Amino acid sequence: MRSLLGLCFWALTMGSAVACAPEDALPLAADAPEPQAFLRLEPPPLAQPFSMELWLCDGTVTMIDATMPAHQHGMKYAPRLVALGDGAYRVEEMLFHMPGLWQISVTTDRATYHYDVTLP
Amino acid sequence: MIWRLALCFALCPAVAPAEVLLNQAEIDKVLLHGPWPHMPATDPSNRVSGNPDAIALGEALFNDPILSVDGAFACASCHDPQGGFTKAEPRAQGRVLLPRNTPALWNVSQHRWFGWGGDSDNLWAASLLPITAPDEMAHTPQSLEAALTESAYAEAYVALFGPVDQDALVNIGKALAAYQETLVTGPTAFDAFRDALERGDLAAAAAYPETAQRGLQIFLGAGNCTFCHSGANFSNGEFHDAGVPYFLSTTEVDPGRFDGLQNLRESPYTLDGPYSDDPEKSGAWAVRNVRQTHSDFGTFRTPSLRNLNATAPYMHNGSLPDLDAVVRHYNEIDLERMHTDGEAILRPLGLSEREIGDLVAFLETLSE
Repeated sequence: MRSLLGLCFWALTMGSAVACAPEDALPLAADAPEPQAFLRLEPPPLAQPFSMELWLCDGTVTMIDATMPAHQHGMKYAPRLVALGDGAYRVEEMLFHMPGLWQISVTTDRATYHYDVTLP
Repeated sequence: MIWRLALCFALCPAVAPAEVLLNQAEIDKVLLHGPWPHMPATDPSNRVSGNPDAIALGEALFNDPILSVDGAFACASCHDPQGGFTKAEPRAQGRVLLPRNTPALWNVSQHRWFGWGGDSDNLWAASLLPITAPDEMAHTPQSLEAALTESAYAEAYVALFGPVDQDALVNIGKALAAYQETLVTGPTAFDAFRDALERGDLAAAAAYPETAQRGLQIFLGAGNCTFCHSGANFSNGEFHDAGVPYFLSTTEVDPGRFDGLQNLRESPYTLDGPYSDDPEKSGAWAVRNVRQTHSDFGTFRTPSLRNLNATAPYMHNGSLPDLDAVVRHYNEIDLERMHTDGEAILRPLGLSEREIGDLVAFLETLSE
């Protein structure tokens, strides 16, 4: 009985980090200790608008953007954030206008998350 | 016999078999610059896009000085069909010397933004701007309406658009756009090379000159050209500082994209506006979401590199007379001229004379 309770407690605590996002969603690197944000996107097209899906286990998105750190510039267009409820978002009209490494930044009221994407 | 063989070896140059010089990573990048030609779908914001009658009317108007208030200019006066739809002068000559080089119109429908400063987000809006510009064709909407009503084009116009009224300016822009959408260049030596690589035919690909291949390797690699000159049309369609001075005189500057965005926001002729025929406003996301920053000042739209052999001189002010000058500009770029808060991409390339020649040879293969 005690071991069963322990097993349930472990499942609840260890599973909660991904309970807010689909299994195939990718965790975003964060300034916080554990990933609380996940995204899913297809390989972005070059110089064409694209969308991605975002899930937050904790907090609310306040800003989303992307930059090319090596080139010291960001996107030419402001993306559109659509809140779907329960921490889920769709981010539309992102556009990467150059090939190379882009860093997506998701800022919430709790932490800032990053995800790197390289366009060929 | 022996002396004949010796003479042959002395006089006949050693001929190495042609080969593909690019590695697989470079080949993968090459494939992203095609296929070509790319015929875009009709423009939903222009209800006569793709309409043969509108194309015919547009072509006729393009070549007719009726679109000037006094008959001084036709569109073709600057966008010369015999001259690559541009002129050989560095800057366009309207009623005064204009600040910028006449943009060539080949493949113009491939763009997202139109004009060196991106004052328009669609081709029909870009086409009507010179018609009412005081320093160019100088019509008012009223004078244009009157001229059209009295012209031989009235019947064709009415069949397409209905009665000639206050929408004549926009509708003429749409007919002109329908014509310009047909201006598409054909495949080039580079495209034959690219297509051969795609189908794995290295023997056919090896026919592409080695000097052009070496130039292409520079273009894809050390030259960093593909950051801006990407895709099948060799342009990302965006605005950058290429280190070309934007001073028009000691007291005047060309603000480029910064003013272009201002004009765009004030224009009723955008894809988000009332004159778009697209009920979905499918292309309007760009004008709604585009950012304006200080670093936009003095930036200009990345031109396509296709058909360059017909469209000299180059850059927004036509300051570079030929492709050799263009490559040398980037090879020796003055970083002191670059925006301090701008992109950190361009740097002097340090190419040798041979490499400069190779890069020029590659660029020349982007023309038919």
